[in-house]
Order: sequence, then C-alpha cells, then structure tokens
Amino acid sequence: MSSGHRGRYVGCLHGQWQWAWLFAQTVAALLIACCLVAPAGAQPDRPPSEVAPPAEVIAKDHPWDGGHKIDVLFRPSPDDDRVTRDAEPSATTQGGSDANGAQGGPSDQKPRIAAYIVSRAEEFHGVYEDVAFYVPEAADYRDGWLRVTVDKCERGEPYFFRVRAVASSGAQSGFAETSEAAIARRQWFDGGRIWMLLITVILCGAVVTFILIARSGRSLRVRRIAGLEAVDEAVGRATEMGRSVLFIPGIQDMNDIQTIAGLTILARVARTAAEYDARVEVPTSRSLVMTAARETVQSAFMAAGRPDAYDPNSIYYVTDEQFGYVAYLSGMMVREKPAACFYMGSFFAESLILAETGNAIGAIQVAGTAQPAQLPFFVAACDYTLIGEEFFAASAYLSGEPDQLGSLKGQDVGKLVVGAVLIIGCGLATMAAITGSETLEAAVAFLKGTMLR
Amino acid sequence: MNRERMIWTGLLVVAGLWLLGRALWVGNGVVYVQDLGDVTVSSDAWEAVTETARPSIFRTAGLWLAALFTLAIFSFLYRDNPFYKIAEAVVVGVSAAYWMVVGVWATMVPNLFGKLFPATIKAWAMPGLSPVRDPFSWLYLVPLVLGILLMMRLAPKGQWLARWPLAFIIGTTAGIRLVGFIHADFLSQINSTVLPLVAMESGRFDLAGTLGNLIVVIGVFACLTYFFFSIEHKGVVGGVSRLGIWFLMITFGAAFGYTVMGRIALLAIRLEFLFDDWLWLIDPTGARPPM
Amino acid sequence: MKRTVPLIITAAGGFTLIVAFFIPATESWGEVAAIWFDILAAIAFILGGGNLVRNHLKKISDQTAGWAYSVITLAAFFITLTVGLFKVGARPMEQQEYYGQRFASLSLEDFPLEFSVEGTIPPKKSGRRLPDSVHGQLVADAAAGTISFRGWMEPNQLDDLKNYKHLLEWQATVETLYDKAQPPEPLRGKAFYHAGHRALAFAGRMSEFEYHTLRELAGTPEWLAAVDALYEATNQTAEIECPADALPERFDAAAISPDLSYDEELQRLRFTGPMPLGLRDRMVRRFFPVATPLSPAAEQVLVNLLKQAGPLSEAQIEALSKAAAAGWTFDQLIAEVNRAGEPVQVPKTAREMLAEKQAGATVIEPMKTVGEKRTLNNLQQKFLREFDSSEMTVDDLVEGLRRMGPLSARQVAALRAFLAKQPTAAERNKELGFALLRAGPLTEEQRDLMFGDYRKQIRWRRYVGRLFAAAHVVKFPWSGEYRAVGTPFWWLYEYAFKPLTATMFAMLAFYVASAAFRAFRAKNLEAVLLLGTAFIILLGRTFAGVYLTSWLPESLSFLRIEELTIRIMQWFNTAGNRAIMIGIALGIASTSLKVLLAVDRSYLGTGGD
Repeated sequence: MSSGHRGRYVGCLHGQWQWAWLFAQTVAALLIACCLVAPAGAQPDRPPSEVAPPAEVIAKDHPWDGGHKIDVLFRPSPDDDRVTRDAEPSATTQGGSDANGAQGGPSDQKPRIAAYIVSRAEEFHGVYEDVAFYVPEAADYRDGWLRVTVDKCERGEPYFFRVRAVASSGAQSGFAETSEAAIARRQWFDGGRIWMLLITVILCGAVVTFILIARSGRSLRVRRIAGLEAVDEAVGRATEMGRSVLFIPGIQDMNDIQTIAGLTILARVARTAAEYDARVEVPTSRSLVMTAARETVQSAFMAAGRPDAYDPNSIYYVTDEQFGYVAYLSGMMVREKPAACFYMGSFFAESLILAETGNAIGAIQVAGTAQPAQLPFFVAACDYTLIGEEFFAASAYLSGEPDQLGSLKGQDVGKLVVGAVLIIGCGLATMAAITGSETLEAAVAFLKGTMLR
Repeated sequence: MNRERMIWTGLLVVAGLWLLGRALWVGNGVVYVQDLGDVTVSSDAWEAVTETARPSIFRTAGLWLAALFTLAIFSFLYRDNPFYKIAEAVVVGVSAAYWMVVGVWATMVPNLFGKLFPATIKAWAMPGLSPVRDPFSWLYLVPLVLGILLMMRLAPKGQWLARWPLAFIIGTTAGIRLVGFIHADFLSQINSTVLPLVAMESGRFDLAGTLGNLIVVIGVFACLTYFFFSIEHKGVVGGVSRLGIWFLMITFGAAFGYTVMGRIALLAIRLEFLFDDWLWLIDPTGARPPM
Repeated sequence: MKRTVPLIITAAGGFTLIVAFFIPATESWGEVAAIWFDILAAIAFILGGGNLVRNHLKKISDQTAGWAYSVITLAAFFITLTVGLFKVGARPMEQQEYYGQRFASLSLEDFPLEFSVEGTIPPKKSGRRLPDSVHGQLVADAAAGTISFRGWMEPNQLDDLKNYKHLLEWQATVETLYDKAQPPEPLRGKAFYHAGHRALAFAGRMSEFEYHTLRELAGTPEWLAAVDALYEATNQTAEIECPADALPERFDAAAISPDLSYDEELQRLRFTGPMPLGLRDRMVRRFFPVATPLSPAAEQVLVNLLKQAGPLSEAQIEALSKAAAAGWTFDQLIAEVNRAGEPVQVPKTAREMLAEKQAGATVIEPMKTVGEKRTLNNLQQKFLREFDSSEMTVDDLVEGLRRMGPLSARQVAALRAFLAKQPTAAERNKELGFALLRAGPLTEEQRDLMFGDYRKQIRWRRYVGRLFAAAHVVKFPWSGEYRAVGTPFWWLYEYAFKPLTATMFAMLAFYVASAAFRAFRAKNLEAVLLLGTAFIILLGRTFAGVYLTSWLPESLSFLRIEELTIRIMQWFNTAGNRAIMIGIALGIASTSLKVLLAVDRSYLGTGGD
C-alpha cells in the first residue's frame, strides 16, 4: 500500500487490475468533467498530447522505516494550476469567456490536472508497473514538490520510477523519469513509532518510579475494593462449612496476560486457604496453565508454612474445549457444592453459565476479568466483580507489598496522563471547531494522526 | 423421591415408546449417503426418492446419538442426572482428544517437524510442502528443547527445569502484550475520544453531535475517575466516580441486551436440529419430499 | 541459581520483545514467539492428557463414586485420539495425488539431463536466494557464462524464476532455458520430473515407442531402472467386475480411450495405466450427455408420457414448466461463445519485450491484444439452437459449427466449458421430477420415467469410480485431512463433539433468562440502570419494541426505541467501553512490568515473597 502526506490516493496497483482501475478512473474523470464543465464559458481544453508531464522526478529511501518504502518526489506539471487557482479565488477565469456568467467560484471548476500516476521498474527503461495513483490536495504543494511514498519495495534492490500527469479530461501526459536507481534501506529504528515509544517510556517510567519510591519506605495508600476484602471472608466461610474453594483461572492459555494475572491472584487465595486450612480446587482448561498453577499453589503453601498440606491432585486438567470445560464445571459445582467460587482470568460466553450455576448452589462468588463483553454477566450474577483494571490491581491489593502498591500509583499516573491529553486534545478540537482556525485544525490532526496513531 | 422417580421413569418410558413408534412408522432421523465408487458423498431424502442414495447406518446412529446427547444436556436445567453425567463424561473425553489431534496435525507436524525435517514430512504427510530447509529453521529447535524441559515435570528430580519454559512463555507474553495493548487499546481509544465538545456541522451548531461528544468525553472521564486507586471515593471524587459507575452499568446493560438475541438464536438452532433433522416434525428448508 | 535463572529468562525474553517492536529488523520476532508458544502448548498436551488419564484411572481403581463415568471418559478419549492421530479412513489429499500419473523414484543427482543457456544469475543485494522450487536444479557457471538446469522445468518454476527479478534480460534467459529444459517432442506433456518428490513421472500408459525414446535419453543404470519401473507401472491393467446391464446405452470403450476395454465374457471393465480425473468425468458425461433446453414441443411430449403413466394435476404441470424454464438457454450459450470471440489481452513474453527494449522503445506495455473479433453468424446460431444432445455429441456440434463459419479455438473451449458445467439430461429430469413431487404425488411408473436415467447414471458412475480407484496407486496415504467427512474422527466431531458443545452454548438462553429474572428484583439504582438499559436494547432489536414506540411524532423521534438504542450504543456504551479498555491497557502494562522486573514472582513458584 502506498502512503503519502495527506493526499487522497489509491494504493499499490498490480498486474492486470491496473488497467481496469485506470480505465474506471478515466471514465469517472470523464463523466465528472462532462457533468461539471459549464456549457458556456468553459476554457478550451488543450489537445490530449499536449498535457505537460511533471518537471522533475527524484526518488530516495524513506527514512526511519523497515526498508520497504521509497519516497518519490516530483515537481508538479506546468499545467497544474491547483496552487495558483486556489490562491487567487476570484481573479482569473482561465482565459475563457463567461458571457453567460460563470457560476460560482473556483470550487465549481475542476483543476486541470486531476492526478499523478507513479510507476516503478527494476531496470532503467524496463517494464514499468503502476504502483500509485495520487490525487494531491492543495496543502501538499509545499515548497514546490509533491511527495508519494511507494511501499512494498524489496530492501536493497534498485528501482527506477516514472511519473505522469492525468488531466481532468482523462488524458495522460508523457512521463518524467528517474535516471538513477533508488534503493530502500532499513534503518535501525522505526520512526513511525517514536511517539509510541515516548508514551511507553512515560507509562513504564511512572510505574518504575513509584515502585522505587515505595521501596524507599514511603507508605502508600490506596482505596478499598470491596471484592478483594471479601476474599478472606469467602475462604473462611468455606472452611467453616467444610467445603472446598473453587478457583478458575480463565479458559485461555499462558500467552494471555489475564491468565498470568489470575495465577498471581491464585497465589494469594491459595495462601489464605493454606492458613485457614481450606481445600482449593483448580480445574484448568490448558495443560500449561495446570503446570503453572501447580507451581504457584505449591509455593503459596510453602510460604504459608504448610507444605505438607499441598495436594497436587487438587489442580488438574479437564479439556481444552470451552464448553466441555464448562459442562464439567457445572456438573462438578452442582455435585460438590463449593462454598466459594473465584473466577479470575479471561472468559468468554461460558461466564454466565458458571456464575448462574454458582448462584444456584449458594456459593459466594468473586469474579474478575478484563474481557469487556463478559463483565455484564459477572456483574449481574456474582457477589463481587473486579472490573478490568481492578482485576489487574487485585494481586497488588492482596499482597499488600509496597512494591506492588507502587505499581498501582504508576497506573494512576497513566490515567492522569490520559486525562491531560484528553483535556488538551478536546480543548484544541473544540476551539478548532468554533473558530475554524487552520492552525488549530492542523494541531488536532497532528495529535490524532501522528502522536496517537 | 420415590414418587418423583416413578413419575420420571414413567415419562421417560412414554417418550421412549413414542420415539420408537415414530421411528418405525415414519423412519425419521435417517441420514443418507450416495456411493460413487471412489467416494461416498453425503446425500439427502430427495436423492433417496430416486433410489440412488441409501441410508447410512453409522451416520443415522450418530444423528440419534447427537439428539439424545442434546436432550441429556438440556436435562441439566431441571437437575443433575445420570444422562447429563454420561454426556459430560463423553464431551470431556472427546473434546480433550480432539484438541490434541488438532495440536499434532495442525501445529506439530507443519510448524515443528515440517520446519526441521521438511523433506521427510513432505514425503510422508504434506506433499505440498517445500523440501528446502529454511536457513533459519534451527530456530525451531528452541521450542523443541523447551518442550523437553517441560516434560521434566514428570521426572522426579528434574522439576526445577520445568520452570524455564514457563518463565520464557511468561516473559515473552508480558513483553508482547505490553506494547501490543498500548499500541492497540491505549492510544487508539484516546485518539477516538479527542472530540470537539461543541460540534459544528458545515458552520452551524450541531446539537446531536455536541450532545454525543459531551456524553462520551464526560463518560470517559467519570469512568476513569472510578478506576482511580489513589483516592478514596468520597466527596467530589466520590460523586464523579458514582457517575462513572452509572455509565458502566449502562454499558453493561447494553452488552447484556445485545447478546440476548444471539443466545436465543443459538437455542433456536438446537431446537431446529431436534425437530427438523431428528424428529422430522418440521421442514422449514424443504429438505425432505412431501410424504 | 534454581530461582534466579527463570527470573532472568523472563526478563530477557520480555525486554527483548519490547525493544524488538521498535526496531524494523526485529519486528517479526513477536510472531516467531507466538509460533513457538503454539508448539510448546501442543507439546504440553502430553502433560495435560497424561494428567487426565491418570486421574480417571485412579478414580476407576479406587472405585470412588461415579467411577463408571470415568470409564466412559477414558473410552471416548482413547477412541478419539486413536482415530484422529492415525487419520483412520482419511483419503489422500486430492490436489497432491497426481491422479493420472505414475511415479518412479529418481533422485535429482541421478537425473542425467542438464540443459544450459548463456547468461548469469543477477545477484540480490537483499541476499534473498533463488526460489525454493528450483532448489538444487538451477546452477550458474560464472567462468563459462552459462546457467544450467537439471531436470525438466515446470510452469510454476518458470513463474517463480521470472518473479525472482524483474529484469527483461534475466526473464528472457529463463524463458529460453524453459523451452530448452523439456522432454523431447513425443514425450511433451506426458513425461515429467518432479524434483521435490524425487520422482520421474509419466501421464497415461507408456507405449513401446515412448519407452524406447525415454531409454535413449541417457544410459546411467539409475535412469534405465527408473524408466523400466515406469514402463511397468504404467502398463498395469486394473479391472473391476461390471455386469453388462450396468453399461450405458451405446457404450463404446474405444470412443473414450484406447486404454479402456470391456470383457463381455467375464463381465469385467478394464483400464490400463493411470486414469486422470478428467477421464473419470468424461466417461460419465460421454454417455449421459448434457441436457439441452426443453422446447415446448418436447415438454408437451413429456407431459403426455407422464399422463400415460399416472394422474397429473394442473399444479404439477405448471411446476414442470417453471422448472424446465429454469435451466440454461441457447441465448446464454451464444453470448458465452461470442464473448470468447472478443480479442483478448495476453501477457507478452519476456523475449518479445526485450526485443522491444533493444530496438529502443522506452515505453514497454506488458500486455498485447490477440485475436480478432469473432461472433457466430446466423447459420451457426441456427445450427446451435437445433442442438439435441441425444442425437449429437458435443464434438459433432463443434464440427458442424466449423463447417458453417469461422470458429476460434478459444470459442470452442468456451463452448465446451459452458456445456460441461450444465447438468446432464438425466440430472435435469431428476430435478423436474423433484418439482413435480413438490406439487403433488407421483406413481411408481411416473417415478421410473423421471428418475430412471438418473439411476442408470449413478450406477454407471459407481462402476467408473471403482475402476478409477482400482487404477490408482496411492502416493501419499497420510496426506489426507484428518477431519475428512466420513472418517470416524469426523463422526465423533459431528455427532458427539458438536452437538454437546453447541447445546451447552444454547443453554445460555436459559441462563440469560434466569439472570434477567433475578435482576428484575432490582434494589439499587445501579441494578435499575443495568436492567433498564438491557431492556431497551433488547426491545429495540425486536419488531414488537419498534412497534411500541412508532406512534411518537417526528419532533420526539429521538425517543423512539431504535433511536434510543443507537444513542445508547453510540454514546454511553462507547464511553464505558473506552474507559474500561484504557484501564485494561494500563493494568496490562503494569502487570507485565511487574512480571518482567520480578516484582511479582508468584507464578513461578519461587517462594512467593
């Protein structure tokens, strides 16, 4: 796909489709020209062969990329009147008579040059293939050069380019070509991601800073989250009733952060259960999760000082299939009636079945997920639900370690950053909308198009 | 309990007799195939009328089994019972094995063995594979070695080695997801929320647009305030986060309402299976010739 | 050491991938990591499966409550695993079986023929090598200034080589090499060398002449052995039992292929050599020709025949007319043939374009127009409209059209292709029979009339299919799809896995209802908001809901349920979801960092604190 600077254009064209596409474009251009040209007072078109080609073409490597793009710069065709036309709104009427009164201003008349076609070959004067159809906008004509970025170039291979102008009538000019080869090179950094790098550094920096602050001994306070305070209560209840605690770490595998977060919560719950002498049961949907969960629970029991109470058979594999897993869980919940159910991880449609079955057996249910589509069902059916970010914060809350609390503060800094960006952005956008100022509009476009891309 | 059991047994016997009678009278739930000599293709009741298709015993038995399984799962809505337990046992066994088979044929053979030993795999199971070994194919030894380390879990003394592949997975997951989510979710959501609080449509004040933008921006702010961890939800902050919770509740309600129709559609599909494909009581698609 | 190494691995892996995201050279490392994960998860199945089996075996041996269900689970598990892993009953993959060709093993080193042309291989600065499809076969001799190819080049190899570098000189060289690297004229299109499969191949039965021609190409013992094996393999005769009444009317084996024969005494159908897929289909369509449009007269004849065989209602006659009109028409065929007669754009060869370039052209078009416009003249059209497949074969039709006017090869191909796509007369009669049945009953005689030919066609197809299977030597028995329809694995998926899981999914309808019912007893504002919104959205998606508020006047139209639904989704739902997603992204970033910096180590079992 080609990319350019705020011009509207069509991406890479290949093979025989180029001809169909060009043909369609030509027909469209012709129709537009026929419909919009005023019957009288239109300036006479020059004969097709006399549409002037662009004055000069240069091609060079696109900076800060992976080595697949080449920038093609060319001076507009001398027939290209877009800049002058738009700059002098009421003066010229293009040499033609408008005895009938040419209606409207320049916005009704089409520019003489509608577009430019860029084609590419691997050898000088070889077979050129059209790779870009570029329709420039007025703002593109800065410093006298137009720019088109051609993508899908092979890194390190030489390319030659030709550019032709297409008039509004559909006629094409001759071509202007590059005589030197342009080679796409790979730079060591992807410049398009500079802003993302900055934002990532800010966010991670905030988290790290607060972790360090916390380590230095300063106390950090965070607000209460009801669901997490209920963990102790739930496990205690299970011990009293002599029934088990069911923990479900989601149905996704270890390559999902939610599963990892769920396992960190499992560590805390298992530790509490070890202290209360309750039985934790963890049926898993993935083999790797079973392996990791066993490690987690074993070390939790060791940390609680009860290594011999650990029963590896309480963590077992059921099946990878989502609904087979939930069929087993429903049956097991109804038969064994756990007193407390924890659903911590990534869930899909089966979330409702689990929550409702748990409700039916009268268990106390605490759920946490970052799957927005499943939150409604957990909220509707569970006693406590950790919504999105609260779920990721749970591990920090339950551990109470200063390091982890520090990371929560870092997350809050992130939200402050978001708030600040939104205030500035919405402010700019509102002012731009009210005043219509081009500078403000450009600023908003830069914010949205480049920084936040 | 005894009376309940008697009622249920009676109901089941009556249903069973009715099913049997219908099967013998109407011959419902039959699946047809057409034998073409080198292949056997699925067929239908229409082809059976032409006497070129025959009933397939295996597929018909399968259909009846599928119908009974469906009823067994539905029976769980009343309460746990042996039929459901059987169905549950079958689904756990079949689905676990199914995904293992998929893991072997769709992942291990093409992506591991096919990369390390392309010529052998091409000659054996994947004739379309290129027999040329990629110069970077040695990279695929890494997951193989990690897998072997994982198997050390089963060895009595080597369990600590099994932590290494887990550490690798968790580390790479954390790294990928960190940048992935910042790129896809964080930036793009903020991008979409940068909106003018006073919307203009071709120079004139646009009430609906303004209202919409205001609600979206205020909503995002309120919800973010709710998620703020450092401050207790009291006073002004408490009020704003209350507003945030209301927004969240509306969001959840909307998602809830949106999925209801989809779920009912799923139920309709199962019921159609029972009444159309199995019992032949309805025929919405005209799959069977008129009797 | 046991504790720190995993932490180092975690940190190293994570930070490497974070940095790799920003460096173009390493951008794809994330995808590689994802593939590695899939492989690791597949290997981990051993652990999960082993755990499953162990637990259930323990339940059975301990005879705990419900151990019988564990027997069922284990049985289902092992049966599914066995039939799936061994691809029981799976037919080999059709596209890779090379039906119609026999193979004889011959490695590339033993292939004796090498073809050279002058030229050099242009180097690639990016370091990418020659296409894999010509690996080992294309070699350049820099000193002699030649490029040589071992083997017989196939069209896909030519395309790969031409796409390697778009330089006209290189492409022209490759084309010249392609023309050279072919078997001698009598063997063109019949003898092939598949380097990837290390096989010398021959399509069809090898004649004595072809055998000697092949033998004379080289004298190495490996070559001769391969040619001998191929000769023997392609001259094997396959036979099946076929009763005489299963043969179609006017059956003529010689008209199909010289390799086909029927032994009337023993009632055996025989074929010598490998049978290509096309021949299998031709054997059926030759004797069960394509259905031509039913003229009103022919339709009336059919109606009369039906009336003689039993009662026929008006509705049925009408249904018959409608169904008969639904087939293809001569106008469509004529249009198709005329369309094929238009001049067409074909790509120029590289040699043509190179000649243009060397002559000084600066603009080289890659396509050229060939052919002149041809349409069917009136005589031809008239002749075409009178085509009756029961009296004339398609070959005769083409002959006749040629006699009446010009007909290009492309037009003939289009004509054949069009007719080959249409149903046979027997199939068309079957469809007409179905239309009649939908409108009313048919007697047994009427059914024989409508379906009789189709029965014969399918019966003949069955014997042809058996012969086809008998004439084929399976090359890649393990290449089939493990979930192919008809296999036991497919059966388990279709009749156990799918209904069970789909029904569990469908149960959600009931659970949604029970959740909503409980939420009806809403006690606080939040629950009211949730429930109320759900209610509005739900109603908005039904006819009843839309009807309920349709009376609202235009000025209050925004209160109509469809509008409300849209506004709720566009404004409130969007706001909430956005905030949730922003929060989740921050939470994930923070969790990932904690994991990478070893602030949170609980998952690795390294002692917790």
